[in-house]
Amino acid sequence: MAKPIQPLILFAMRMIVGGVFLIAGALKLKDPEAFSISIQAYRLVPFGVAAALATYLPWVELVVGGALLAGWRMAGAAASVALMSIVFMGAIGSAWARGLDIACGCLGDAGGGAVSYPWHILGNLCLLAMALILVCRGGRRIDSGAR
Amino acid sequence: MSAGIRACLRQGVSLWAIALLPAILAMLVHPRRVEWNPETLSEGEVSIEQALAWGASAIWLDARSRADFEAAHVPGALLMNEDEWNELLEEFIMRESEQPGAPIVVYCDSRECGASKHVAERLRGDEFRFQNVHVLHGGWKAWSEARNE
Repeated sequence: MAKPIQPLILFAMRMIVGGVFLIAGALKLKDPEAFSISIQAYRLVPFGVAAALATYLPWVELVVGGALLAGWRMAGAAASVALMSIVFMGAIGSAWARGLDIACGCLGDAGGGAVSYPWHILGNLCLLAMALILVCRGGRRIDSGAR
Repeated sequence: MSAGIRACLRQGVSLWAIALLPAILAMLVHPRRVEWNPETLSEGEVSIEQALAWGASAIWLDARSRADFEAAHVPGALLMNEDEWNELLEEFIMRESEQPGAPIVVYCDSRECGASKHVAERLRGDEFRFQNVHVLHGGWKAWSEARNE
């Protein structure tokens, strides 16, 4: 019974992961300056690197998320999501370990409340797991009707 | 390296390359583009030199946590953070009514924090419509350094 629903599950994973990254990228694009401040708050990279990441990363998220939703270059897009999720978890974990009281910046918000570290790491773990499953499907087209 | 991994890498690199072009365009024309020079003031910011020149004629708002505020703050500053917004608002409104139109300088820890920007945006917003609200460039760190010079 599991086999017929598997493509539907994969399709749902693709929509969730693609949707999350598309929305995250779009929200960050509204205010790259605020996102740059969020990155600087992690105190992991110099000012210039934070500025470059704040300029580039939202567009990568947007393109990768859009590619997953559209079913285009899915293996590469899913691998990119996996890579970014690992980096995000590393940054969040490092901030948690250093006891920093900062905003996540995950959705482009420089201020707001302090980040809930366990929940953000859990969320990224879920994204990573789904992305790895999608990568393992290789470059094959994954949609509700495909085998 | 297997053909599958090579294809995956090729796809990934192409997606990151596609993102590069709009990123470069945004870097040039985005209205809220990233400031690459840390010394340059962003929109709505005021330099420490200007803020010090205003001195006590400005209303200083500390957007940091209560613990940080109680440890040390700009003399005469009011605590005004988002966690205790409703409780702290009344004192600020009273101060503002005593100094109507005075520049309002909001600060948090340093350039890396976003709390002062959020407080400033809230004060400029539809709820309050204060016009003369400025974020202190460099925040508390800049003020401390200037005081020690």
